[in-house]
Amino acid sequence: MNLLLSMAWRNIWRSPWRSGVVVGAMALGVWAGVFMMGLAQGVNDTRTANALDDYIGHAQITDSSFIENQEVQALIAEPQAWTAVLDAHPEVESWSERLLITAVMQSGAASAPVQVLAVDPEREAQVFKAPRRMHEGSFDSTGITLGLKLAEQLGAGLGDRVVLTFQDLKGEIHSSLYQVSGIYDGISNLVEGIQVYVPIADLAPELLGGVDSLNQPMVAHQIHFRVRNLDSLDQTVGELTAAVANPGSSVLRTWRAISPDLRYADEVLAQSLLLFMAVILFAMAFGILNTMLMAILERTRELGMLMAIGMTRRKVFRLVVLETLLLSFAGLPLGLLLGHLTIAVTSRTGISLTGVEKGMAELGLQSTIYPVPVPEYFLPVALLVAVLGLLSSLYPARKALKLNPIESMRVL
Amino acid sequence: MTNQALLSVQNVVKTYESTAGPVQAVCGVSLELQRGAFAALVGPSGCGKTTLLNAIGGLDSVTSGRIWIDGTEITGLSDRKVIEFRLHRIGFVFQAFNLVPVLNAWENVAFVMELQGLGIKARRDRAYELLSAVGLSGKEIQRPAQLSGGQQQRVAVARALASRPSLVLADEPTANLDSKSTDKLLDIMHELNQKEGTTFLFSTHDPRVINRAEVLFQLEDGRLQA
Repeated sequence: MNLLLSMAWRNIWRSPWRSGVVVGAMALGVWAGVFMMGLAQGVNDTRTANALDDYIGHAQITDSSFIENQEVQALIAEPQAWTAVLDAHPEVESWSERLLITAVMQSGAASAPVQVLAVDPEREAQVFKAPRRMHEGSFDSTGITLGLKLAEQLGAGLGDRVVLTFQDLKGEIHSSLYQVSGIYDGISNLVEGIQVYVPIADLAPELLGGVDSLNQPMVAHQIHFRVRNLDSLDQTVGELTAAVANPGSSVLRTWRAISPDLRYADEVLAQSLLLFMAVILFAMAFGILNTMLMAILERTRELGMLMAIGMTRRKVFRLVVLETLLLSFAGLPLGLLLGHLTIAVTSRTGISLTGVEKGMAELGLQSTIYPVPVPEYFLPVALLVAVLGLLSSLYPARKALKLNPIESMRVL
Repeated sequence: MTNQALLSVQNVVKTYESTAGPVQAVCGVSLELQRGAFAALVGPSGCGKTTLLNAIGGLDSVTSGRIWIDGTEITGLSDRKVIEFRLHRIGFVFQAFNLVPVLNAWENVAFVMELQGLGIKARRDRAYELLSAVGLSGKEIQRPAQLSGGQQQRVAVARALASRPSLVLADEPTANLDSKSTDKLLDIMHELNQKEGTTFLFSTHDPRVINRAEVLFQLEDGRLQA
């Protein structure tokens, strides 16, 4: 091993306690940072997965005009063409067609604006999880299914009657009476407070209002589907789009296009996590700088002697930089390992936040968070340590550079 | 400068600024030292021995005057070139043993050769050879803290000779040693002087060193006495 490197390594252990504290602090800082990264990534992944499971799906087919204004007339021109392709593709796990309208719901006690999803209950439950998390009753074709939050807001219970008022395809106001057959308990309060489900077989005739041109076996504003492997979603979507003979004005979009906020959250999170780690390491850098300044002060005489026997200032500078970098890096592997192990354990057991479950639900999260391993951040973290180690070495190294051999050797 | 002189000091003056005004530590000293000499700068404390030795070693600048070593005028060299010159041509032995505590004996000796860019094998062979020459065979992997004061100073002598310098400057090398260790150290240095032809210049007021020196330069109040 290069003698200068060996000397630098041995020098940092001349004060084992002092260096041990710095190395330990660095390991703890890295551990905390990595664990927080895994936790935040877990929160984000869970939030995304919940959103996909509850109301976005993996991908969606709509008429292009529906994306812009969600007008009730913007039906998919030939939904059967798409469903045939979806049925045939091996990667597609399930699909569900939807009619989607905005309505006002009135109970005996109150009224509220709602988003009505007219669905085939059986198909819908294969694509989305929300209808499967029933609080009361069942998700079937016998009536309307509300979210728990909306039911509380309207004072509506199982078996109660509610009225939906909406505009049909001809622009006429239409009111329909439904009996509450189920109340679901969604993860997201936002969804629970606004989305209601009715059987598509009941709503479609009322919505179409006798428009003869639409007298076909299937009508839908949206067709959602799930894939077996989310990682190959883009490829699957490409194959499906290519397979549809005449898509007309209908478009197929993945969840990233449907909900860019979720995609941006991933990108923003990555930046934020590194910034968070940088702040931790920046604080650590001051500890390292202080330790190195003390080391230089204590070794003034020795450094003067080394310069006297022929060590150039450049090599003195390099020695101090090496020592600082080694001190900075000594705690890194331990911190990364501890962080990774902590995540590995908690990703199985989960971290329960039962005291704040209401707040978590507002964010679309369950009360148990499962951190996810973040090995992709290890290299950026190591680079951050290198940069901050290098920066914190500059001042002590400059101090060492300015030493005068004669004056330094007089220091007792 | 005569043809054979290894060291030539011409009219060197060193003045320090102090709160009481300028202090002249060395006042126009001129001397010459032949190659292979075993010489000493002697005089009482504060007479300017160490100041002159530091100036000869290029560790300190001179106020006026010129110094040549082996044909090179070191008083005219830049800071970087003086360091380079010291590394290759001058060996130092200091009063306090001044070894690197984290390096063992052979690594301390080899350090100068590492700075010179020698390969590991050449460094190790030379370090072991020198440690053997100073009577420290078997102590190669011991750290300074595991060695006695006399042994540490012998390591320092081995280190001073590692770069095969023309001149070894030793500033009060026996000041912290007992008489037995002093005699042993002087024997070793004299033997190396004879065997390798290395020129030694001591600054000392130790009579045991003065008795062994073959050439003496007497300094008093910064002036060389005839």
